[in-house]
Amino acid sequence: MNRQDYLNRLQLTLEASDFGPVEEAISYFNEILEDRIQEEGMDEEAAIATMESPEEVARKLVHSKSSAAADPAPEPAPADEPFISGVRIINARAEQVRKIIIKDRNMRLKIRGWSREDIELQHPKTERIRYDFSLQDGEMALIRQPMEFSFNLLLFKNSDPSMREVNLFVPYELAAEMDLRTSNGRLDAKNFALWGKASFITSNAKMDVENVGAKDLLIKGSNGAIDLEKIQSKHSLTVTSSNGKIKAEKIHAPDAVTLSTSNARITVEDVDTAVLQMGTSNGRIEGKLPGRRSDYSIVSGTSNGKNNLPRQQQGGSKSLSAKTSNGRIEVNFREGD
Amino acid sequence: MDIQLKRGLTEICVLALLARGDSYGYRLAKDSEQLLPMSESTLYPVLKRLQEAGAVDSYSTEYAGRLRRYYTLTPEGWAQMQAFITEWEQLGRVYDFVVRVKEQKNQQPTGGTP
Repeated sequence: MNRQDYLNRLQLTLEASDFGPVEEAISYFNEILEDRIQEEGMDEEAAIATMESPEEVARKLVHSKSSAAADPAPEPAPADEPFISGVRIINARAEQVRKIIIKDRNMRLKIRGWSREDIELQHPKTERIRYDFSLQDGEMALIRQPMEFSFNLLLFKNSDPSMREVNLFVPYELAAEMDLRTSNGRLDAKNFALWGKASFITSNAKMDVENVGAKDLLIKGSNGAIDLEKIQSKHSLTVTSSNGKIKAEKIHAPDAVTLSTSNARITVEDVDTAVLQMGTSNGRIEGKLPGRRSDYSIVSGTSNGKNNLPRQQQGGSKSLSAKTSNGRIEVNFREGD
Repeated sequence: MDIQLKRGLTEICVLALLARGDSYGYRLAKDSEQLLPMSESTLYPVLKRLQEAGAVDSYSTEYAGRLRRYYTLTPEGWAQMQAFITEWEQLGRVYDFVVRVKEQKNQQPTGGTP
């Protein structure tokens, strides 16, 4: 490889990532090579042989940009040595963290409150499952690296469960927000309260959120049941899905609770809020709400099925909306009508 | 080493190297070798950050028939070096205290407080 090849490869790799303008970096590395050649009296090939590969340089530059941490990225295993797989464990002091971000895919995500006061993140690490981790300015981020070209379906046959799961442990109470996202994997959150807002997203898998508090909660799934129990939101709870049923039990979110899905039912029990909106299609809506029916202003309707709620009722201090098609509506009230 | 600490150390090393005189990418990487080895790909983002923070400035000048980019320390860079020294003097006192307490404890019979 000569200097021009090296720089071309660096440029291509940087441009393929979201590094931003590359000219400055290219001219920097061009200078480095020229100086190395001149000052060490090396020829181009030899100078390049002593450098990191263009791909490795690009990876570190992108990494340092996304994490802004000067910590050099871990060295990749040389090609002729087997990559050491395992579970990486990262710890952080809770007071260092104001926001936790996980952007993953094809991975289960488990979040648990624990009695310790630090935060622990466990993620698998293999030749094909790689992450960028950063902790800077209060933001703790675990970002799954883009798919490599040598993508192999055998990946999903990995039998060790620890290699298919990211675990996040946090103190029971944490002054931070969470923005967690995966796909094709179950998301399961239990026993913690956040001072900030929380957003949990996955697809094609079940979601379980139990005994969780936050300033505001957004839960998004698809093609999998969403099961919520004992949720305390300071403001609102928003749950959206498609083709997945939603069950919400013991919910307290004073401002609003919105539950929306399709082709599946919605079940509520003791959802305490000022504005409750439930919408689905081809599925029933059922459950039990606190107070009396007369506490609510109601709008309800189904195109095909029984409905025990008035289609329209005014006057209550709270608002309830229940809409579906091809399904019945049966919502009762703790203290009767 | 703690990421944040390491980050701070790489930055202060670059500042100190530049305090000896203006320098350029390849030379900085080489000069860092005895102290805290940094590859060019580690050094580049550090220089970028320092420039963004106004601690370092750069200029191009002709050398052997081509342009070479030199980096130079700004007054803000000098101020950061002074701040580093002040901070670490304080850390040094804490370090001394911790070591002293541990030594005293080691001299006492185990488990007992006098």
